[in-house]
Amino acid sequence: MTNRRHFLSILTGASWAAAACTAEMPSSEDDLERALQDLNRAAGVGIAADDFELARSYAAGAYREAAKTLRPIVLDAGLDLPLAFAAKRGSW
Amino acid sequence: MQDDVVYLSAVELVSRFREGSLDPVAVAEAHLERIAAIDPKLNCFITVTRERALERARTSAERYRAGKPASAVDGVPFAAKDIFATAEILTTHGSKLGRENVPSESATAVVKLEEVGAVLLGKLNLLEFATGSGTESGFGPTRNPWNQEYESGGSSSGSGAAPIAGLSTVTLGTDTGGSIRNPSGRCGIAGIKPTYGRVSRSGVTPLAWTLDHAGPMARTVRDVARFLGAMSGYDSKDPGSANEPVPDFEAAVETMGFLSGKTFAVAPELMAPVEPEVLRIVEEAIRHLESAGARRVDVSIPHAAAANIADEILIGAEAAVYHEQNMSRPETRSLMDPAVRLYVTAGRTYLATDYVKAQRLRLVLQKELTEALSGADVLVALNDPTLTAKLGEPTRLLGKEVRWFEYGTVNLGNITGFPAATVPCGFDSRGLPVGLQIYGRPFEEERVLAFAHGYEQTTEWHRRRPNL
Repeated sequence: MTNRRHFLSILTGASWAAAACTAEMPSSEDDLERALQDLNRAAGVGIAADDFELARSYAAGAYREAAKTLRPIVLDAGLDLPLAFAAKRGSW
Repeated sequence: MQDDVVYLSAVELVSRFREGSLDPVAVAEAHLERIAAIDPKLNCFITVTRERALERARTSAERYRAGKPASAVDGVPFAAKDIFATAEILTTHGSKLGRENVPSESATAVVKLEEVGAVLLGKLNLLEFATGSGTESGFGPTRNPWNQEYESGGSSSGSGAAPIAGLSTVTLGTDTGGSIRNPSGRCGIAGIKPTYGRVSRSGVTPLAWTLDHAGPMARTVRDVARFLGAMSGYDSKDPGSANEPVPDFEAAVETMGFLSGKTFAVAPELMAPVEPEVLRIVEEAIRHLESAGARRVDVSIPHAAAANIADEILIGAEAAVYHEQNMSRPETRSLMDPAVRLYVTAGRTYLATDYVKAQRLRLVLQKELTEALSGADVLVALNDPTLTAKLGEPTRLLGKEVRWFEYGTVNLGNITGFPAATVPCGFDSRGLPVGLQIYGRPFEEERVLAFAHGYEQTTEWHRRRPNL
């Protein structure tokens, strides 16, 4: 619970949270990169620092593109989730 | 002699094998000689399986002498992207991480082709782990045969360059976000990303399980059709494999491979944004289709643009999971190309809700593409809106550097799983090929290939050869 509160407190202060929770565009790519960095550190995502440096701008760009292009799309509630999953008997 | 032989199609080769005017050993030797002479400047091959190829070619020649060829691909040289596992042959995934990886079993697609006599010449270079633009192979870049200062497209880079360079009659590629169609277009050959599930991915190193496809690439559509037939079919080892009947693709190409009376759809969402030079070439191709008797209908795919970011999120997240162990160990991470680490790292940050939404969007796009195709045989689109970049330079669109999820028309094929082929439709002012993309309904590759063949046979683009 403490960890979850800590995690939420990080998100609350970040523009990333705004993008995720209210579907508003993040205020800037810099804010987004910082929020992702905080998330990586605080949530134990496990991204190495040098990898994060490589990817931060690209990831922030993808977040912005998703905010602009993907998230505003309203999907029918009856639409399925097309992932194949089958229960298997004695196959392990 | 050598140049003539290496540029014969699979159809021509088999015809000459049958009549006895040529034999598979001579053809394999001609290709191996040309690989030795030409490939050092192109870097299409990571591994050449010379002795094995000659041995298989000799066995094939014996079958022809006995009047009992195994199939319509018996003795035909092919090469596989080095992401298809090959038993007792190095399989690197284009990565230094794979430089000692020698599988004990071959990928199903390779097994199926070898079982019916096709002769594997070797393993082809690719962008590391079949990722996208900006990535490099751990074995150096493949250069474009038309101008070696330019890239050959990706991720099936060697698979695109080898056929047009006369180094292999047919090649195998994989396509998760355009990786068969992009190098086919950049190198001026034909290729098809079949319907999801049509060709087994068992033994193919995954990039993204729900988007990966495998398919053939060659200088002619008919060769593509012939090899697609030999590779296709249900495989219980691939959870995504489809238990659908496999038609005779080549027969369909022969009987339906004309344009007169056909209808093709064009959607504005798949025609822009685009470099003016590319648009001019593709619009000319569309005018050609109409002048050859095909009828154009205009349609719309309202959410087509979202396919690009959806594909990015799905590939990123799935690849991040696949490479979790490679990325967690310094000794493996340090061997990976920085651009691959970038893609995989970005994918690790994506939201689960975006992933789920992207998956559900696939059904919307399937519906929209089905509706767009409802009054047409196929849908015609840009293959790639950008001009081929110089090696080491970023992709630009209308003067702006672009990330791959910000543009393009190929991801719709991966997101929907619908088949899409590419054929050459012209050359830009720098002498580099431009491709035309042709979409079809699921499990109707024969209709796509027949239309592509109809276009090909009324143009001369596929007859051009680079000066090597």
